[in-house]
Amino acid sequence: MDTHQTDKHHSGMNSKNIIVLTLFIIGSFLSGYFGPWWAPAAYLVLVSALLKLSVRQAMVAGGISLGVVYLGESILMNSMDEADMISKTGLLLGGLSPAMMIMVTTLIGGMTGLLSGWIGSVIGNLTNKK
Amino acid sequence: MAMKQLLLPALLFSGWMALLQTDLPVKGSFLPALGRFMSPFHGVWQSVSPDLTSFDFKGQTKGNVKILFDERDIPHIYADNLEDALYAQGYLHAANRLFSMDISTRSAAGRLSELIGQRTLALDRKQRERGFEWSAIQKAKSWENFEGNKAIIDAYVNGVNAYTHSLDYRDWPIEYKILSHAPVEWTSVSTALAQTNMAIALCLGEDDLEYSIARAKLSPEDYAFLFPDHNPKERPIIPSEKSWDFTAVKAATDIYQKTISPQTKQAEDNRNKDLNGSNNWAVAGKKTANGFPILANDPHLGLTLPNIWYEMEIHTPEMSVHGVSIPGLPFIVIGFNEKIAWGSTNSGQDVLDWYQITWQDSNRLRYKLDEKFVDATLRTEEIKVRGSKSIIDTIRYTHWGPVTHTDEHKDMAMKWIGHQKTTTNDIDYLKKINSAGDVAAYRDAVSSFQYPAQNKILASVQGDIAISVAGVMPIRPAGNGETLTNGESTIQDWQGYIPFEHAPFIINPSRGYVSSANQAPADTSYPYPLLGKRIFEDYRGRIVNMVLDTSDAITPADMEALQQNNYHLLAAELLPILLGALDSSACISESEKSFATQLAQWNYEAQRDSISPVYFDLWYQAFEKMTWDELDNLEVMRPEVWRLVEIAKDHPQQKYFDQLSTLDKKESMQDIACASFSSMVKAFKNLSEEEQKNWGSYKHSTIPHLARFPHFGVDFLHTSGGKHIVNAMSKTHGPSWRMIVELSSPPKAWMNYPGGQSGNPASIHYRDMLEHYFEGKYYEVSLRKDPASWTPIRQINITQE
Repeated sequence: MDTHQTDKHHSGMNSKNIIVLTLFIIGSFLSGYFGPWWAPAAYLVLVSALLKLSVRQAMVAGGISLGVVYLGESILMNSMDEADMISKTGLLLGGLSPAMMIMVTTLIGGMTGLLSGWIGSVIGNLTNKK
Repeated sequence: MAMKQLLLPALLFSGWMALLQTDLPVKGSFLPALGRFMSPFHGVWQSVSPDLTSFDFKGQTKGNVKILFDERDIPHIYADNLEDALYAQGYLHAANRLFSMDISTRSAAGRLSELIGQRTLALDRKQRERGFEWSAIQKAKSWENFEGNKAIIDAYVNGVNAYTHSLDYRDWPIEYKILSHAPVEWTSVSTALAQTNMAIALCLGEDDLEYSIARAKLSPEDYAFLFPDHNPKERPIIPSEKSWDFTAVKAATDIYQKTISPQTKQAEDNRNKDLNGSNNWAVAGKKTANGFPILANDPHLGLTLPNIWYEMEIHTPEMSVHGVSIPGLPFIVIGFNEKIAWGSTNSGQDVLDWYQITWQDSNRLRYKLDEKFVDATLRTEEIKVRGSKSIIDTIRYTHWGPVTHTDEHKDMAMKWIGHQKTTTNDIDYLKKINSAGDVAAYRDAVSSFQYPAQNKILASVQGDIAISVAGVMPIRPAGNGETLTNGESTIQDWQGYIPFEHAPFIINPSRGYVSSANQAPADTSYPYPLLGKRIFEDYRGRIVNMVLDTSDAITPADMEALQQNNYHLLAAELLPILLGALDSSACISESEKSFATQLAQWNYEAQRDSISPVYFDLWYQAFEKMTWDELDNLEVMRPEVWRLVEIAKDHPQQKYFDQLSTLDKKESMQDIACASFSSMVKAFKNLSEEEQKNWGSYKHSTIPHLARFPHFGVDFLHTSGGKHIVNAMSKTHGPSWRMIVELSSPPKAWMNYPGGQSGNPASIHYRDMLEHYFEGKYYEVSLRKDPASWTPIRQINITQE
């Protein structure tokens, strides 16, 4: 019984996580594409607060979603880089290879998403308590 | 409690975002703010795939403008009036060279440190001290006094800004993203600065300080022996058949001033000053295969990516013209229209004099002028420095010009042609030459040319050829201008300018061609002294004339070959003397003989695959150094190359061949030839394996990025040619544009330049003409007057707002 309830609970959590993650990824992509560079962070703060996600949930979803968006877009742009601009710019920035440039980009996205989710979640939960 | 929960994430989040928003200083440079720079939607990632599609936009034009791009991305502008065409030109310049335009005008103005930081502060201070921005402001104001110029400049400036205003961060040129600085508004002063920047590159040549030091340290006899006024082998631009049927305007006073002993001991090394040069020639129909005149021009400059030039074609009701423009300036600078072709080489005349200032006291506020002390005009300059506090400099302006204080010219005022108000106007020149239809219109156009003094060449479909030394040239009191001048008396001042009709020019000379390659403008019969003997080139012009003298039934292909001629005349004149000295002295060892044999068999062609030019270059350097050891010891400039050859040939026992280091022996030219040969062999063996391969590997030509961003340029090019050679491709300088025009009706042209149309390093057109260029190939061009007659690769339509 306990096991069944746990599985059901787990399954419910997974669905919600997937929905949240999807919402985060699509929103991060669209806000990044149409807005200024900090728009995905603002979006993640806002949505994490509105959905009143737990700190852990918001941080994980925020970090993964913006990390994945940054990773995907940078891989796409790198594949279009016929003039080796990323490689040349990476050399200017202390000898970073294109793979390392992608990694740094992903890290920046992931960290920004993680911190955005965290602050959003805390704000959401604080307003909930009030 | 709630605030406590918020504190840590708020601190971390805001700290992180602030970090991503901040440019970080790293080792004297700056890491761009990573938030936007690494954003895959905005930063560097968006710079990998430039947009080369067609589009329409609304602009500040009177009518509609069509811009069609051909297969090399050369834009062909079709406009109903001149202003609209220049609006489109401004837009295209910005779209393809915005960063180049910005960096070159900042360099002239002394505003690089705003962008770069401390690293460029010394250069900025020097530029501010020399008043280049101040003179550009005056120049921009003066343009308004000429009819029609304001509308032209405004249209061009509006075009540039139409592009700049259309950019958001993701569209910025990559260099701006790396430097984390937004593109700035373009103004008429920016355009004046673009012109000043070219003048800085081409007409700051002078050796006043060096001559003063030489005069002060050498006996009059030695000075006269080492630095004669004329090279007897010189082939001046205007051939001797020209008679000067006028009386020169004399200065009111002729003062052979007493030489000033300079305070400084260290003369600047000027030996690289003459790398900027150019070739042009025009051959009359009587010497060509098709009976049409042919004009050729290849200006030599420091090569960069993006290239200094931007090729384009402009059609308006007044003109149809194709050629190269300088981003930042309206019109075509070198090119051809339906009736004429024109080109330029630098005249290299000395149009800058230094006047020693006598201050009343150490405050440097009042200076002596005509027996009394007068106030200097103070101008405060704020130099903004990225990452540091601004520097405030006070520049002192005197009767002569701005006073420098930071380099070797301490307390000397600079009198430069670029600072003078004249009745001529470069914009007027460009407007007239673009639409000129015959030799009379060409002469009218060049009468408007201000500076830098240039050799303007012409060929027309009417069959005329001509060359004019154009630009404002000062008349000085006799004896002035070569050395430092005493600034205490206005009697030493320039006394007007050589009247245009007295400036050297010739139309349709009997020899059937006109030519120039930066040599002296005229022979000694010319009534005015023209200073600049150490700047005038002594070899390229002679080679060009040697070839043209002996050529008939000339074709455009012959002209291509001449532009790429690698004959090393200096080697051809010096090497037999040196090899003869080796033979007569029998001084070389068995192991050195192969070097001498190789050189003896050399055909004097500086081909990239040849090893002989490497041996000669090393030998020449050692020979020159050993010969002039006394002058180097005295810190006196070395004589010109041609003079060393002449002394080696005619004065082998001359005292300067004696070595300072051997007190017990008196060396002759033969001894120095032997010693320098051994030195050459040793130097060659010390070269890297790569350098020992051949001339191209040894010379190691490069084309750096304009702002010297590593990896954005080309690190190695295997090239032929070199200094003093018609194909003047040295390590960093070379022909920046090659053009040949046959004046058939309509004219046909062949052209190329080392680079590409786009200033965007990610573009396929950034350097797509480079390989073709270094293979010696040209693109055939003719005017495309009818836009409906050809299919463009892409198109921009500008419609009236």
